[in-house]
This record gives sequence, structure tokens and C-alpha cells, in this order.
Amino acid sequence: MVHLMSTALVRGLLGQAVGFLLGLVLVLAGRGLLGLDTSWEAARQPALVSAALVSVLGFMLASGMVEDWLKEMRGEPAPLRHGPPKGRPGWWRYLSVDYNHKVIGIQYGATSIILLGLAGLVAVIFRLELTKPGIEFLDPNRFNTLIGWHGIVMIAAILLGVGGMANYLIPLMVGARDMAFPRLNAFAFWINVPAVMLVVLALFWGWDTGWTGYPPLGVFSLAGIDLFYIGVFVVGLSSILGAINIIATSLGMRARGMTLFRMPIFVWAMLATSLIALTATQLIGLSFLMVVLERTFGMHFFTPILTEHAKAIGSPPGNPLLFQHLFWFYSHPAVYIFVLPGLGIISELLPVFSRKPLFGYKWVAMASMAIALVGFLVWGHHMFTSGMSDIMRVTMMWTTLLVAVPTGIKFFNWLGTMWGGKLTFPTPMLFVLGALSIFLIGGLSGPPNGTVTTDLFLHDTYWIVGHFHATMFGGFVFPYIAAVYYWFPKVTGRMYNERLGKLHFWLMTPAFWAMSLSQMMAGLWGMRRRIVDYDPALGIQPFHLVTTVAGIVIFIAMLIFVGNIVWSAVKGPVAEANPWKSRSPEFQVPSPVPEFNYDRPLVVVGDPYDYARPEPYVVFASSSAAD
Amino acid sequence: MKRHLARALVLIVVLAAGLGYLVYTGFEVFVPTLASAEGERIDQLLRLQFFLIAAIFSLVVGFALYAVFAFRRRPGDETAGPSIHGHSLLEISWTLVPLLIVLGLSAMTTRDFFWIRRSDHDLLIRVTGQQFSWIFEYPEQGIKSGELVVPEGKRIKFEIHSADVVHSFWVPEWRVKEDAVPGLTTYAYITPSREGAFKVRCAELCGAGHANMLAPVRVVSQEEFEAWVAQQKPPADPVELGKRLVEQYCVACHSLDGSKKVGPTFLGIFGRQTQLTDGTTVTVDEAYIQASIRDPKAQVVEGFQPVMPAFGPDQLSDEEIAAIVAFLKTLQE
Repeated sequence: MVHLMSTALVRGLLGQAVGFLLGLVLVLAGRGLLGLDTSWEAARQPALVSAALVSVLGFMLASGMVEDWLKEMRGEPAPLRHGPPKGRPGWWRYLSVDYNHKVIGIQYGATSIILLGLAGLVAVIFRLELTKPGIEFLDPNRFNTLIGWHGIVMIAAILLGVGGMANYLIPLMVGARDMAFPRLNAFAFWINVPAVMLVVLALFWGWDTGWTGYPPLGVFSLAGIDLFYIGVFVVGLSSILGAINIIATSLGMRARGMTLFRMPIFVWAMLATSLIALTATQLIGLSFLMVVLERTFGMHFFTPILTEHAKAIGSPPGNPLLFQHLFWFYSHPAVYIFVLPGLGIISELLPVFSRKPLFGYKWVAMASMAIALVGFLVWGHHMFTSGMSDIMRVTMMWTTLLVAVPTGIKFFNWLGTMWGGKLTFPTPMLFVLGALSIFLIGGLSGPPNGTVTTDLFLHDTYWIVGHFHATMFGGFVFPYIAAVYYWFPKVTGRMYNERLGKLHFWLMTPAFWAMSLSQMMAGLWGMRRRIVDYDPALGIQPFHLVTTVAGIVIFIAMLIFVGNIVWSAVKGPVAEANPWKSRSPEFQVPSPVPEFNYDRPLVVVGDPYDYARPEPYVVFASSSAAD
Repeated sequence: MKRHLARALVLIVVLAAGLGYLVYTGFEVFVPTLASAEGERIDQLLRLQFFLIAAIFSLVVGFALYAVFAFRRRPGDETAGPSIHGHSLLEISWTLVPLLIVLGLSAMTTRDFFWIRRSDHDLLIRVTGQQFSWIFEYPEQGIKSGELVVPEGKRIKFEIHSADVVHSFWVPEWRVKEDAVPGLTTYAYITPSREGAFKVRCAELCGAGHANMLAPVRVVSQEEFEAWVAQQKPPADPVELGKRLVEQYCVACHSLDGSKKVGPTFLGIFGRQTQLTDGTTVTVDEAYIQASIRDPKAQVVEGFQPVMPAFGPDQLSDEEIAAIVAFLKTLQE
């Protein structure tokens, strides 16, 4: 109990609660002094904004995540802490501020799986509502809150999952002892916790815009929306800081001999992802902040309907499309932040289980960079029906369809990798193949949304819901699960249960195909997105029934997954150091990986994936040879 | 290796033929009834893309499935696969061929899009979306309606507005949709090609009543359209006028038959004693109804959320509210 109370998690959350109350009091007291209405009804909106902001500061100060920086400011020595803390149980460091990249990677990964579970549970709840036409048990505001919550928490879960894979794997793959900036790394993880708490708290008051938060609806929305906007803003901060660390580590800390084209391909994927996260995330933060300002101070950025005061001072009307441009300038590239790492995992694992080099390595690496670059020029395809000018719509279509080319390159090179190989099918490989099949559905359902005219029909229907769930599952969820199974023995030193892993796969994959196809069919038949009730005359109830049942099966399969990894981490059989006979450097050291990864510097002497060659990918420099 | 390739190609051809046949015979089943000339172009392109999807899906799945069965590792075989790192000609071809396909698609779509969006038209209709109803104004005919009635075969320009938040004007059978954005005027062009009854369905999340933000659509012959226009003068009987206004503005959230929607049902509402969220009880009379339309969030009925938008005098005049009251009086259980 003493140990638990001293963790950063518990201290931080207490600090956040105190900060929240302090923020409320600040606004109420300020309004009192200014002679403004202090009733809760009148003061609630600014009070919640202030409470949200101060609560994040409260978490930061109380958790100890900025302790070292404060010490340095005071001129006290703040040496980097290493190793498991003395006198604490083994689990303690995972709930505390720890600077080891592997601990942080596990923190990210575990938080991600918890959030995937919560957001999935919420999806099951509103899927049950949608099984039949009519309003069964969710009133419309609660339904709208839940779909928004599902969306944004899934996005946070994916960003955290990407962070987990990147933090755990990149230093190991490039042969470094840790990330370039360990304290910044810990900060970037921990700042997510108060952010997610704000989004959880937003459920209490609710909001009705979905995760996109479009004004003017967002401006007039329920009180929970400020907590949602600010929570997302802070998650974005984490994403930017994490990207800095990943770029610095992968470009600056590579082992001797590891030229750019000899990096494990996952590092390329993360590099491309991080370039997007570093430069695009600001735009969603900005757009959400502007709506909060509009709500709190009446600044008319996006709402054309002016208040009396705004009219009196001659304020120009706001423009709702401005928000959509700012928002999608991030939120489209964000899709590539989610899927590029997943596609990187597919490219990383296929050679291991095909015992054959990655086909067209340079093309695959450059395809990631091409997707990242073109991804910046396509945001307008989310606005094909928004009233944007015709010429912009056409331009954005030409750029959008270009994305199909590098994506196709990846697919064909994956086939080339498998062709003529010696394939085995343990659970991670099954999930890689599942990912390939599902990302194919997601990818091929994309161009009809990309060509403007067909999108005039498909936009904002369940076809889109089917399309992007397939890209997210094929591009992130399945590869992420494959990665968890694949590196599980490396992380824990124990083996997961193979039979449960296969059961997980054979439940989840067919269920997902069924879900995708039924969602797309419902959309073609006229089912709109984000509606609590639908017209029975459309004849789409069977598709909804399939979607709901499949969703529940996927949820059960994920429970089996979590049960398997939790049980195996404690009770699983001890794993060998290199169960997959991989050439990757992390598999050349004992499991779990030692505190400082490699006791001697790595030197790259061969190809990362060529299993036919006698020389390995990396060798360890003898102590004398080490500089 | 040649034999493997030949077998895989057979698998791909079989798959592609099967899926292609499905698209060929089943396309009309995949999409709703087609009811506009613009939609015809859209469906043609969609059908073409479904054929492309069938082909590419078969290509990838065919190769992958074949590899999964043909290139399994034999038990006891510990050797690695061949040391093949790539093939430049293959890479260049699977870059260029998809590039040509998407450029071709873009060019076709550009042509179709500008054809759909060309500005000639026979009839202008002004559409206004507001939480949670649609109003259709016919400026050339001088009428206003909650029902969208249009003549078949005439190209219509819809001038789309919003009174509050973003909505989206969509009739699935017409295919084309366009957002209603407050502060902007957006356009859609549609030539209805089939007589019948359809619905406008709001396609952009606009708040609590979004799911039921529907409006009836009737596509009729030119003669029927003209007859309809002639009868559209506001009815003198207040009950008739009230009925029309309620159908226009209220029924998305208030049922007339006692079923529960976002707001309380109108069946038997007039004269009823109603419990409010602040604990007080009120009798639903002329004054209460008037107040609830002008400032709906002031007195909310217990069990419901304060989500109804306010209607000012420029949306509903006092006389129109009186007509609504007259109609509500007739809705007794």
C-alpha cells in the first residue's frame, strides 16, 4: 500500500484532482471579484476550462515527471536514474517515472491496450443500441457522447500503441542503450495520463459532435466538450515530443555500419511517422484551442452567427470551413501516423516467417516516406461535400489517389517477400497475414471515396465507417497484436500460449471481415454515420445485426488476448533468447533484454533479413575494439 | 518457379472471374434505386471501381493464398529461402501501372464532376437546414414547404443554407450530397430521373435530433408539380396550417402517436399536467407552448434533455404558433 501510494500514477492523479478543484475555485473567485454571475450554470464553462488546464499542471507537479528539470533549475544535481529502484517491488517502476526506454515502452503499450479495451467496450454498448431500429436504451445525447468518446479514445490508444512499439524497439533495433532524451521520453508518456483522465471526465457532461468536434455545433455543445478539446490538445503535445525523440534516436544513435538503408525497416516506418507527428499535430491542437477560446471568450473564429457584442464592434463572421481545413490538415496525415508503424511491423515480420529477405527494401522504405509526404497534400478529401470550391475538390482528388501508388508498392513487395519462401505460421505470422487481408479491404475501399463524384454518394455513410475501421484494424490493430505476440518472449522472457493465440486469431479475423462487409453494405444502402436511430424501410437491419455480433466476437477475442498475455507473463514457460531465429539485434541478447540492452557496441556487418547468408546482421565489437 | 506462377495465375483468374461476375450481376443490389441523371454518372464510375477492386483483390489474395499453401516450410527443413532482394523491372512496373490507373480514374472523375456541377438549370430551390428540420423555398414560384416536391426530368439547382450548425443535404437515391454550412451558400445540381417518394436525410452530425432530421421528397410529373404549386398557398384554416407547420418543424423530435422520441409526444399534450426538471408542475396551455418554442431551455419536461433549438419570430410568427396550438388541441387521446 505504501509502495502504491508513492507511485507517480497515484500521486499524479491526486495532484490532478487537487488541481481540478483549484482551477474551479480560481474562476469562481475571479468572477466573484469582478462582480460576475458565480452560479454554476453561468460559470461552469470557464470554470471547467480552467480546471482542466490547472489539473494537468497538478498532475505534472505531483507525479514527479518534471522533478529533474526543476532540480536543474534550482541548480541541484539531477543525475539520470538508472536501473530498478532500490527497496521497491518489481512492478513499482512501471507505475512510476522511469527513464529506461523499455519500461516506458511497456507503460505506453499497456496503457494502449487498456484504452483499446475501454473504447471497444463503449463500441459494444452503442452497437447493441444499433442492432434494432428505434431508440432502445441510449438517449441521443448519450449516444453522440459515446461515439465521440469511442473515436477519440481509440485514437489515443493507437498513438500510445505506436509510442509503445517505437520506444521499446527503436533503441534495440539501432543498437543504442536508450532513447536520445530519456527524461523527455518519460514526460511524453506521463502527460498522456492526465489528458486521458480529462477525456474520461468529459463523459460526465457529455458532448455531441463526435471526435471531430466541428464548430459551430462544438461551440454550442454540452459542457464536456472543453475537457475533450483540452485532453486532445495535451495528447498532441505528447505525440510531438515523442516524435522528436524518435527522430533524434533513429538518425543520431545508430550502431556502426548501420547506414540508412541497413536499418531494420520498422525504423524507416517510425521515421516517416514521426516526421508527420512532429509537423502536423500542431494543427489539430490549434483548431481545438481556437474552439475553446471561441466558447470561453466569444472569439468568432468559426461561427458565423455573431453575438450582439461582436456585431457592435464590427467583428467579421467566422468561417466553419476554416476549422475543417485546420483540423484535417492534421487528422488526415494522422491516419498515416497510425498505419505506417503497423505496415512497418508487417514488413519487419514477413521476412522472419518467410526466411527470405524483404523484397525491394529500398522501395518499401521510400514508399513510407512517399506516403508521409503525399499525406500532407490530401486533407481536402474529407471535405468533398463541405462546400469547398470545385477546383479544390478536384485538386485534392488527384493528390489523394496518388497515395494508392506507394501503398500498392508495399503490398506487392510483401507478396514478393512471401513468394518462394519457407513460410511458418505461428500466431504473430497469422496476425501479419490477417493484417494484410484486412488492410487490403481498407485500401481497396479507399479510391471510391477518393474520386469526388462517387464520394458525393459515399461521404458520411457507413461505407466510410467500414473503410476506415478496416484501415485502422489492418494498418494498426492487427500488426500491433502481431508485434505484441512476436516480441512477448523478448519482453517478458516467457512464451505466450500458442493455442489461445490461434483461437484469438480465428475468432477475430473472420469476425472482422464480416463486420467490414456488413458496415459497407449498410452504407451503400443508405445508412448514415453517427445516427442513433435508422429508418427500418432501408432494409439494413440484418447488416446491423451482423456488425453487432461480429463486434462482440472481436471484443471476446481481445479478452482472450489480454488473458493470454497477462497469464503468460507470470506463468508462461520460459522462452529461449531467439525463438523466431531472427537476425535482428534484440534477439541476439538474453530475454528479458538487460537493463542497458547491449554490453558491447554493435557493428552491422550483413543484411538485416537475408537468412541464407552465413554472416549475421550484427556482431558485437570485442571490448578492445570498442572505441 | 514458372509452374508456381502459372498455377497462381489460374487461381487469380478464377477469383477475378467469380468476383467480377458478382459485380456484373449484383451491382444494382449493392446500391439503392437510382433516381437522378447525375447519379447515373456516379454509378457508372462506382461500378467501374468495383470491377477494379475485384481484379486487384483477386491479384493480391490469389498470390498470397497460393504462397501460403505452396511455400509452407516442410517439417524438418531448417534451411532459408532464396537470397532474392528485389527486382527492379517488377518494382517499376508495379509503380507505373497503378499510377496510370489512378491518373486515368482522376481524369474520368474530373470530367464527370464538372459535368455534374455545370451551372445550367430549369428550377431553383432554396434549401435551409436547421436543427432538426428542412425547409424548401421555391423563389420563382413564391412558395415554402416542408416537403420537397420536384418535377421529373428537370435539372434543379439547390441553393443550400443552414440556420445554425453544419448539416448535409442528401437523398440517397439521387446520390449527390452537399453540406449546409452556416454563413455560406453551397450548391447541388440534381436532375430527378424517376418518379416516386424518397427522403432527404441529414448526413452531417448536427446534434441530438440528427438521426431523425428527415424530410419527405416526392418526384412527380411536370403537370402534377404545377398543380401542387397551385395548392401551396398557406391554408386559411389554422388547424390545417398548424398541422403543416408541425410536420415541417417538429416531428423529427416530437411524435404525434404517443411514441417516445427526443422530445415529449404531442399526442394529448394540450391541457396535460406536466412535471418539469426543476420539480414544478405546469399545465400545457397557449402560454406554455409559446414560451417553449421561443425559449425551450427555460422549462424542460422531466425525463428529457434541454436540446431543442429556439425558434425566433422570423422562423415562426406568433400567428403561426397560434396555428400550431390549434392543431395540438386536436391531438387528443
